[in-house]
Amino acid sequence: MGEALIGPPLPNTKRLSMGMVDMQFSNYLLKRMLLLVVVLIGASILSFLLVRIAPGDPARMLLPPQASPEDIARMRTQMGLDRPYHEQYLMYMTNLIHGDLGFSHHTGRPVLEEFRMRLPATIELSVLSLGLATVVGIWLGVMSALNKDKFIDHAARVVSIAGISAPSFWIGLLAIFAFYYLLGWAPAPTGRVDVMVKSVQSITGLMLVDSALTRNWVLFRDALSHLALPVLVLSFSFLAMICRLTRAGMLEVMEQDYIKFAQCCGISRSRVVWRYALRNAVRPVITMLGLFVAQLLGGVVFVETVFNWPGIGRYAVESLWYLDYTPIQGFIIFMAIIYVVMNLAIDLLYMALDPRVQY
Amino acid sequence: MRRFLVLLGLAILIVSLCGACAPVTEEPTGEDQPPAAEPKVLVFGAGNQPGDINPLIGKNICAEFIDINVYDTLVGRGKKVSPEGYAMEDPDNVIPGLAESWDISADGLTYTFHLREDVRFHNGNPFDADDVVFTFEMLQANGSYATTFDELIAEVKATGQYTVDLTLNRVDPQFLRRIGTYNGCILDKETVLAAGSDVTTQMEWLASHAIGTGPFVLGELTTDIARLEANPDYWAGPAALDEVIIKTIPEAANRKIMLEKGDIDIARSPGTTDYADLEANPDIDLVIRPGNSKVYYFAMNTQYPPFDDVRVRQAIAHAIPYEVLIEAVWGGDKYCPQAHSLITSQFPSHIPVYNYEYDLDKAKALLAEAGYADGFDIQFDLFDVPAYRNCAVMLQAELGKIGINMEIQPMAPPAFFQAGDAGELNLVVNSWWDNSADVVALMRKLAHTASIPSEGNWAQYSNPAVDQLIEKAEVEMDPAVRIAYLEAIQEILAEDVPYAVFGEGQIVFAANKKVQGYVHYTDALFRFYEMDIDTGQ
Repeated sequence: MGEALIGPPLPNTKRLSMGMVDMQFSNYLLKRMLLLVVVLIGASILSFLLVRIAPGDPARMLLPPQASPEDIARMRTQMGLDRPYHEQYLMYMTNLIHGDLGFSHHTGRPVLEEFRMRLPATIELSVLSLGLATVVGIWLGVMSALNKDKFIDHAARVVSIAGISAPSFWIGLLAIFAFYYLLGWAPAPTGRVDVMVKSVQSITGLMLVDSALTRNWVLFRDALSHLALPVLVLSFSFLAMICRLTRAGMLEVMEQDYIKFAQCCGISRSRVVWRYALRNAVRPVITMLGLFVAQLLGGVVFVETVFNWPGIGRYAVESLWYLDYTPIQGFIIFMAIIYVVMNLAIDLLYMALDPRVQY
Repeated sequence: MRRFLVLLGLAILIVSLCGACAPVTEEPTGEDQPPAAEPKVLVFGAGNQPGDINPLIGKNICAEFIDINVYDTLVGRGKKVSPEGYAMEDPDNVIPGLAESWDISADGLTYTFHLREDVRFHNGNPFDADDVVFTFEMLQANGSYATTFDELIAEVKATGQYTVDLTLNRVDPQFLRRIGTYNGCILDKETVLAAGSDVTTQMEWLASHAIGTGPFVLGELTTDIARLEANPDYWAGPAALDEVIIKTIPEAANRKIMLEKGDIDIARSPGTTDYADLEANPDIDLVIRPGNSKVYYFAMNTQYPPFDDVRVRQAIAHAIPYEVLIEAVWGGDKYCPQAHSLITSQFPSHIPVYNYEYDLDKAKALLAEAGYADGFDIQFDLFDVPAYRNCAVMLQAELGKIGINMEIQPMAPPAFFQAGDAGELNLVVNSWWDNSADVVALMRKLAHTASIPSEGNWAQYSNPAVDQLIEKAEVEMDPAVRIAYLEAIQEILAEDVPYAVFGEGQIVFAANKKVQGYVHYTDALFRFYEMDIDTGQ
């Protein structure tokens, strides 16, 4: 009963028939899907043109510096770079529709296979880092807001500033030095698993999931121990931002009349804070979370380099260094998909959180 | 809700910390290891990933490490002991590989190779002359040095099941050494042809697969690890090592601490700031060997003012703070000896002719003589890596003292090479080397008119006298005469100074003292067949 009195009166959705609401919503989804297709086509054209405008010759980059101009010309023909642009684009799009993202010349493997090998590593790292950052960040933010200017608020502020200012690769190197080299707690930064571990049966590509599914608990522990340090380092900066945002939102919401009214009604403080206030305060955090996910999935190059993590970020940067067209194009398209999907997810999440939002 | 969040957060934290505390030494294979002999595994920490391992291409040194151990070449490179007491390549000696013996015709143009019989590829296919012919045809048509080999080789044909006749277009005293490295890796014709019907597919297959006759079999190859398992049926007997793991560790700092902790046995290219620490460590050897003709220099574009005037170039040569530069960038003469010629000091043809000393007064005087008493503005094109960046900054400071305003333009590698190929680079710092340590080829690339602009002659130096000397040296079979030509070339280049040389690049790596058997080859490749680990017990 208390819930219905909080906030402005809800629009009476029961007047509309369920069918109409559904249709409205499914129209909305359809529009967003069409938008995705449009964005993808735009992204593919843009990425195609951009890499070709960039200075440098990818054939040149693939061969040693001592290679002769004839060898470079032959490599260009082999890579299909001597054809006119529209022909190259058509070839690329035809392959794309068939799921062929092209051949990554600097690694010697098809781009799709490279993505398939590297994306699970990035996903595992991202999900765990963001999960940890969100849980701890929100909790710390709420605690800071409730205990404004007390010790925990100051402590959280120090942590936040450190997390936002300190560069992740520096924290990473320090962490490796402290926890691996000096203390011997963390394993060697060899990537996802120990060097001696032979390749394991890959079902999803996510080490934790695969080892749990195959009941290989020794591998599970090894994967987890290798994940610990990079997850902690990566979550640090996101945690800081989430904490600050939550704190700011909570401070504002806790001053609202309906919160005071709820407290007057005798609703427990814990319920007021976590079920009512947080839900209203967390909207900017959701927005940022969407962006964070996109950022993480795009790969965090520094952490991947420092921890030798075979993720997608390092691959993207290497492709730029070698001016390897196909992975760069593939990566841009992939990021376009991620951003569109994340935006849609955020909008849907708003809808779930806030009954006032309707599409 | 709150309690749930707290518990969830704590759970994640605890689980990850527990995982972090997993003992490092545990063997996570979950299978029973035979308790008898511990397999001898060498873990090699490389700085970049292998990527494309096609031996015809020679993508990067990590790929070449794999190729030279998984494939065999027709001939190998001989060994000797250096005056300092370490094992190194004997440049005058070539040893049998897949070719048991060979005859060279009187005119030096035709090589007849007698191949080993009863050799099999890793997949069981027999090795014979067809594979050799196929490999050389692929090299001439599709390798990264295709033009060079195509110009060099007239014809390759099988004259028997185990004999191959290879005819050259011109005499090449270095030919056998040229095919004794990664380019000469013999492929299995059947397997490559079965991989695809067109060359592109075959090359793509070769980029991530390797079936050779070599002492190691390529096991797992992923984005950052390559496992080489000893070939038990190798024709020269199985290797001492059971397995070699080549692991990509991009951060030099990580390679160093993992070596110190014993998680890897060899760390390639440690950071220059770590040299002192590694040397001081009693369990680690910092191995420093002369580079394979690698020389560092500042190149000046001789086609455009102001560098078209030799006096300006000489002025620049006098403005380089040689000792301070080497100390700052590499940590001292020990790690990068000062260069006194484009040809580095380990070669018999080296003469220390380049003797420009750091002397700002002389530099100013030369500039005034050339008409630039007030100095000038110049753009420095920087290939943006830390060592070169430091060199550029130091040069900028010194040139400022003699009135030259140098602006540093950092460039990403693709843009840099594009500018180089178009002949647009003004002043750069760079290094060059020849894979077979063929100094005549080095001269051809750096100083011959035909190499302008995109074959390496970024200084766009053109001197008919030098061109002639290079051409004569290329076909001269008598080493003494060849050395005479090279000495003449060095003298002219030191006088004309299109390249202000300052450092001799060294091969530096750090290894655990228990690693044995490293031989220093001019192609800088590790041949793991000769290496072993002293397990002590």
